[in-house]
Amino acid sequence: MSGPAVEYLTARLRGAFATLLRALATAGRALDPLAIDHLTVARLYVVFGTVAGLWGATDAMALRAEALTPGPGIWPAETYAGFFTTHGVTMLFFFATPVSFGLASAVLPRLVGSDRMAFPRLHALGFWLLPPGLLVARAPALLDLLADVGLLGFRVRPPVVGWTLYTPLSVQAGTGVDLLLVGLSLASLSSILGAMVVFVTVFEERTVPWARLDLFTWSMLVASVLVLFAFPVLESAIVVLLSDRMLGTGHFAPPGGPMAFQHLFWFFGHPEVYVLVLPSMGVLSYVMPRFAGRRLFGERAVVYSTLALGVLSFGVWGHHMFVTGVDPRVTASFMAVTLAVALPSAIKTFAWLTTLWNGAIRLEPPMLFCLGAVAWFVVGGVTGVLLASIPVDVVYHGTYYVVAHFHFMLVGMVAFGLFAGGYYWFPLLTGRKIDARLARAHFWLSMLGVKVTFGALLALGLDGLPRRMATYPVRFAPMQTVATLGAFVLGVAQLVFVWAVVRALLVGDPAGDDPWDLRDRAVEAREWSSR
Amino acid sequence: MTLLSTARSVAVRVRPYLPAERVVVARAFDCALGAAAWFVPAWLLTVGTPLPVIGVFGGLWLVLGRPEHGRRLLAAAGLDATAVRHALAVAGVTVWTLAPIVAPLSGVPVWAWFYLGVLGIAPYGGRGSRPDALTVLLGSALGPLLALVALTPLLAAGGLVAGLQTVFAITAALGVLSLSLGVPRRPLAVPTLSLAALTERVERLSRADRRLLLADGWTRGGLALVGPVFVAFSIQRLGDGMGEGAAVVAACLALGVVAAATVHRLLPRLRAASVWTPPTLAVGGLVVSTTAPLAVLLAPATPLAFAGTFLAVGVGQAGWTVLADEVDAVLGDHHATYRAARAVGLALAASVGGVLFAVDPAVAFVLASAAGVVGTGNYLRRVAA
Repeated sequence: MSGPAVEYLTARLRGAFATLLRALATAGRALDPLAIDHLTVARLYVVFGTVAGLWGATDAMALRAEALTPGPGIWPAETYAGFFTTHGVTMLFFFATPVSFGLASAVLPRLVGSDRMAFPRLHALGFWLLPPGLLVARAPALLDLLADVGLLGFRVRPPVVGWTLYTPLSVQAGTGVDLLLVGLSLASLSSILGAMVVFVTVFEERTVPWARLDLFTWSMLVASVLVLFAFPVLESAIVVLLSDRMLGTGHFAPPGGPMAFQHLFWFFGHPEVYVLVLPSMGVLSYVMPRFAGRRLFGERAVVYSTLALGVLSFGVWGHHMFVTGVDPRVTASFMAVTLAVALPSAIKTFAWLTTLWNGAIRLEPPMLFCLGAVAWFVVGGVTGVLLASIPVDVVYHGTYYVVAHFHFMLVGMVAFGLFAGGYYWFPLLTGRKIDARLARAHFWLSMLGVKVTFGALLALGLDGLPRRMATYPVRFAPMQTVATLGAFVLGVAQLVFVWAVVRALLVGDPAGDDPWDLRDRAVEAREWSSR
Repeated sequence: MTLLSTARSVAVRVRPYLPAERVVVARAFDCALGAAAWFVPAWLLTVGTPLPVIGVFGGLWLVLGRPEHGRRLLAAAGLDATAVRHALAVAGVTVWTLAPIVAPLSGVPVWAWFYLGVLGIAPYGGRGSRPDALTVLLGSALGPLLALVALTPLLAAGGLVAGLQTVFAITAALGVLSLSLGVPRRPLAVPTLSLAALTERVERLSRADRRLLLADGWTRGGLALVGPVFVAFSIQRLGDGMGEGAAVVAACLALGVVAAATVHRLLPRLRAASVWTPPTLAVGGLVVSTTAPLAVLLAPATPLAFAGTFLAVGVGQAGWTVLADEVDAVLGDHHATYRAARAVGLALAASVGGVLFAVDPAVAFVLASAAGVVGTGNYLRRVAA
């Protein structure tokens, strides 16, 4: 190569290196790990949760790709099991919870009439526990991949125990479970800190009287109480499980240990469902009236139903254990309490629908997602009521019916609710407006994806197909294919969301101080008026 | 927030030069469909479809893929709106995804569902959806290249059957996304055809120009004999089962795409270099068409040998473009009718090729090369004259 060419290349490389260094430096300043103001921490929570959600969604896509063919397909059975473990853990602990707390961190101070969250440093610490938690929890799969391509001399098998970590499997499984438990422990500690901050903010920083407190704040308050009671139990179970695995103790050893673990796990696990669903319910109760042009119907009843859900959520964990041989008199009581959950849920649904009645409805993206969430909540709720009945649960336990039910709740209700909140408060978080056309495409594709995917899974479950199996009999293939097609549509819908966000951040119009035109509609919107 | 401000200022500056997201998504759908389409005959072969049926499938695609046939058919059926064409293509690829599942339930063979799907896909006219995509994508190879690169690990992990079915499902999802964002409008150009006028024109051609048409017909006919099974046979030779070679062939195709794109970037300069360059390029393309079937038949069954073959095919595409331009120049306004008639002939050749392949792959591939030799000979005689 001639001299000038070498000089040119050297100069270009030097320039590229300098640009890279500058970019890293500016990225470091933008992330600002020492920032403790509530809006910055909120942004960190939401961005982290979104990234984790996308990572968890790739697990789902991998699972659905495998289920496309009845026989062994894309992945070995062990990898498939690893995917459904990391999918569950990532979505529950690192996507839904952080995004809920992120949205709360952004708006709660404004809604309660404060200018900050309580304990700002603890608040920031709560966030900074999450990234290492996610990396450690997902490290086994990454290390396994590195070993596969020859970059690592040793192998750490990914955990294949499911997000429920049932013993004795989780005691006997490989070292990947240790990393998963440490990651979960960090996530759970982060949730406890976040809940503490929310709880104290509402009680100590609040200047708005209780009677005028909005529904989102009520929901976050109850969710934070649930975290404070439930997550320490998970934390304890994790420590004991680690002790069984690493120190050779036998707390969860058969015969009674596995049952003890399940009791501990589900005492945390079922309230966790409400930790996830209550913020979304709060978003719906808060956002829908703003696009229906009227106050929430039966506001007081909705607050009481939120409190009732919080209380009842601690009395239903046994319904996850109907087939474990628990005394029928005990399971009957769990069935009764589980069925009772339908009442406050129905009150909320009734309130949302009657709020729409004769309202001046505006189908803006947040409202669309609210309406979608109500629809899927009804489907998820009705399928859940059936599962609450012991005879039905015995038949459908461990089938795709259960998978469909909780995905209608967690994707249809929780994720849709978070999207509604995300779109509604996007201008607050970023100062930009999001492209409504892309948001609508995101909504309709997500509706289609949820309907097709989980509708097909519901049909598979009704036909008796067990869940968590990489292979299955050929007769189930048609519905599995339909479910995979729907899942891929749901997947590309989320790419539209990501693109809409990136586009808005880069070239979106400034949001102004009344981005949803609420001022002239006589609807109180404290978060905008206090900007 | 300095990083975000910098990104914003860059984005605002480059925004006018970026395609809208609906264009990007539509192009992604086209490219994914195009990449998957290469492997459809191989997939059909794997699931036990009779070889003559695969040949007819390839022929059907060749005919419907031509705008002179496919688009006229759509226009006649009143389905010529851009969104409708796009929806039909999405429906087609959905049928392909569901075909292996629906076939045993319905009692209708799986290939029949693929025939049904191709009715929606072939006339679509997306740039990546034609079977001769290499000649079409020349100017913008990035999309097809990315699609083939993305396809490779899926085929490596899942083998041909599961891997390709996953690709169909992803493509269908991309199609739905594209529909939801709004399909970029592509006006439907329906060419006017007149066989009588073409015949009259050909009768008035000089002997040398007729030789050009003969060269074109023979060489393309030869390629059409093995075209539908070219990729399938390559995969078959590279692995014991159909799964092992699929990823290698996908990578080889990606290499061919890069080669074709590179040569076409250089084509204007090469053409201008000397008066002898265009005929030399055309002869090069024809020689490739002559030797490629033999190479696939006789080359050692190693990834390197096949990569070389596909690379040569990619480079040879420049020659085909030169030849097509010469044919257009000779026929003037009648080239659309000529292509329409040629497509019917090529469809017949593809169908015959399927039968020959069933008799013995060597028969089909040797005859394809022989037809290429005849065509090349005719072209050389024209040049010599």
